Amino acid sequence: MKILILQLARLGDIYLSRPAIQALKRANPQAQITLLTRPKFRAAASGLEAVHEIIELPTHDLFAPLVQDIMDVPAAHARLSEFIRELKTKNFDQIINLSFSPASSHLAHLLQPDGEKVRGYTRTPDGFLSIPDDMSAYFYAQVGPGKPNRYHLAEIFGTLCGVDLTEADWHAGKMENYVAPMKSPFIVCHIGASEEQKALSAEKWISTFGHFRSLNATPIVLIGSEAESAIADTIMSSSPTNSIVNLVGKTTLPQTMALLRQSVMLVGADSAPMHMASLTKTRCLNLSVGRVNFWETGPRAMGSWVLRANSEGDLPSDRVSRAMAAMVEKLRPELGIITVQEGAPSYSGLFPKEAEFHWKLTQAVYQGSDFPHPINDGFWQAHEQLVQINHFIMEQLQALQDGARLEEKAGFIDRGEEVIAAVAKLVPAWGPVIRWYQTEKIRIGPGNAQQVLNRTCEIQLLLQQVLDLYSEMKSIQAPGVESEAP
Amino acid sequence: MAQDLEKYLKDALKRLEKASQELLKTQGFNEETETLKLLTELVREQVPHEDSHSAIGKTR
Repeated sequence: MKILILQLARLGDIYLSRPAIQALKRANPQAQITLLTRPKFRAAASGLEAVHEIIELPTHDLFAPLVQDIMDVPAAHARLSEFIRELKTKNFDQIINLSFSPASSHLAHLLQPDGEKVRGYTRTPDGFLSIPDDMSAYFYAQVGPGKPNRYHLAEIFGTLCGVDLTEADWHAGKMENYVAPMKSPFIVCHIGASEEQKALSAEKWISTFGHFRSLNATPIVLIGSEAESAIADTIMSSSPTNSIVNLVGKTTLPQTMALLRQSVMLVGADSAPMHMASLTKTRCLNLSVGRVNFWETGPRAMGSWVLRANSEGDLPSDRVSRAMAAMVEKLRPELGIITVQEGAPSYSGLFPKEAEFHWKLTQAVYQGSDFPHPINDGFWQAHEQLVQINHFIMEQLQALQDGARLEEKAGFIDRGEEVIAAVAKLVPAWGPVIRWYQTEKIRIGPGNAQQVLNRTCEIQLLLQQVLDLYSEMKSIQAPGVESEAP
Repeated sequence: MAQDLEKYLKDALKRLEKASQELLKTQGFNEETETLKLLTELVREQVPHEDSHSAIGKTR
């Protein structure tokens, strides 16, 4: 069996894809797995023995006719057509798109126009986004900043590949023979991040290391990209030379992986080195700052901790340094630190009441668990609106079933959809249900009018079932008493 | 990414978007128009920074 995996995203996503790819190979030992990546990130697949071949998307060659004084669009178009033609000659039995991007969805469709052998985003015959499998639909609706998902991205990739991850799938593969510049024990610290908002300032690192030095003498190795050299220089200029080694911009990705394996722990933001550490089973202290969901892209090595903060200002240096020292000395975490646990979801910790409600509602919609009791009156007000508007839409659909002309009803249905979308914005508690509903509408593929109408009616009825369930819940709730989450 | 390269790509994106629309009008959605659309999307993802698109992104 020949399988093509599209992973056109960044370094971190490639590392997070590796357990799924390794699980896929474990489940299908005879499979010939090909991985398509961007050239810049190919090194993140280094040592990935489950892969038979790595193909680079030839972006430099494709874009060359476009980035010259006389732009040549037909030449770039022809180069891309040729690349796709060559890929097609490999006759893949299955395509798994782990990228969730518009470009990757078009590529998946061009390689497999009938779509039967594609998992992950692709396109319909008329060019619209096609979401063929339930996990991709879940991703579309519920994953990312501001969304309720609590499953780790690696697990999501695993499900997309049709496999359940086991502990054995989290490994680094073939490691480079790299000798660290100091004997263990040492701590690795990644001072940067893929996005500025996730990284800490040089000043924060200086004060953290200064405080840590008063608690523990374990030396620290700084890592990062060349672009982060200036931050490293600032840190080094304010730190004792015998306690910190600066390797920022001086290690390749495979060397960084080898360095992490030899270290006692990694400290840093949610970024590629942390995903490497999950593979080398190196404990992490994840400084999760800003708009990032640690439960989706945080550390997975057992014994790892997460320190969550909305901004750098909310993350006191002494708290970080105490956590570092406690990890090195294998002490218990302080109150408020989130810990990695086995299974999925992968983290233990307290979440705000609203976030808990959103997650329970998501589980109810997708996994059939009990629907949670609402935690505020706004939910009930929105419920009333939704009952009315869904009833209105169903009336329009019934009229269509009875022979009314689509042109007469389409406008009414569209207005109804707009109201439902507005409710989701105004009352986020309904977000999981409404995003599920909207995604299922998107998933209605091209077909004849009756097929589209029948599927639309089915989705509307499913929404009605959820609304009915809450109507029943409301009827047995004592009037005037605000409900509480169980 | 060098600023001049970014400028080239932004210009290319405008040209590609226009060419995609024109081809779609004349030919409808077929393999050729979709390949041009793919090229457009690849350039769009390349513009902000070469690594383009985190998995936690939006599409449609």
